[in-house]
Amino acid sequence: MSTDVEKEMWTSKLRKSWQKNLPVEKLLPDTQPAYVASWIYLFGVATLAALALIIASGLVLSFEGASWYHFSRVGHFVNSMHFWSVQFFFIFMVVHLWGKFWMAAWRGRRLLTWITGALAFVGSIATAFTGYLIQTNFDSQWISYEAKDGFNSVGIGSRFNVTNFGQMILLHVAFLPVIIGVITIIHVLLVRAKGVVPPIDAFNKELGERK
Amino acid sequence: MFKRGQFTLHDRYISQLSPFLAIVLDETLAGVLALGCSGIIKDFFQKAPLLDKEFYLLRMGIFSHFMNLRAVYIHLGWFQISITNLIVVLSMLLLFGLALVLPFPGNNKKGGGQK
Repeated sequence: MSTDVEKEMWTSKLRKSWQKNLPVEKLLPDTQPAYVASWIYLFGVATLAALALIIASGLVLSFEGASWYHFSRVGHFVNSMHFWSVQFFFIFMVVHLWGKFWMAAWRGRRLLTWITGALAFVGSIATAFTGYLIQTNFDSQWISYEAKDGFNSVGIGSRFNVTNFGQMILLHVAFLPVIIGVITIIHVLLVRAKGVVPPIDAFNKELGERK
Repeated sequence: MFKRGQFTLHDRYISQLSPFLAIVLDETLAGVLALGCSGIIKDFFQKAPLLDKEFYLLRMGIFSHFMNLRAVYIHLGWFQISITNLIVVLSMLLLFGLALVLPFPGNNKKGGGQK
């Protein structure tokens, strides 16, 4: 009786699916395949490290206020940390993208991993753009007034008002980062579940064929 | 506060700097000042005479000031790119190339790796 009930419960289905596809040994592995010992495989985790720095410095900036860095040396330093973390975040992510593109990382039922990576890239660009709009300086004023013409020209200016500072700070420090965070977690979990993509000419000993 | 043309001596050579390099230099300077890593440097800038334009510019972010100047572009037919973006793109390509060719420390090919 209880087994029938368990079969119908979504928690039971989710648990069984999780245990089947992502057991704890896969989630927190001790070793990686030999081909991972290459610099090109490090740019994914380097992107994550940069993202951690972005979030940490961004939290400090948002707690102190958007204009804090204009009059505080510590604020200037934290703002610079935020800025440079973003620069390296994108540099690492682009090199990661190139590496995965040329090794056709969607092979071996990894299409969803590739798609979530692409979504994270596009979402990060949108998040970075909203960051330019909350610098509280003439730069952000100029950018927002240019951007509003673009939004108006495609008919969505009434919904997304890029000159509205409150709306932009909501998008930049809460809404978009949450979306990026969720996509990133799914992306990393998929990498753990499917494993790191092998080189194109790697030989699969288990299947006796080339991957 | 800053008037364009007032600092012609510096304009002549600093405006030649890439805005990217300007940010690097300025943020480095700001980082040193903000952290107070070196008491000597911090004291030096704090005690610098306000009216001395060179020290004043250093304290206020000399390199950011010169970022307000026009960006330098390379233009080849339909292709146009700023020096700043070109430096970033070339850096990424260099990083990508190095990641492919540089040996990974501890990577023993004879040993067959970890797994």
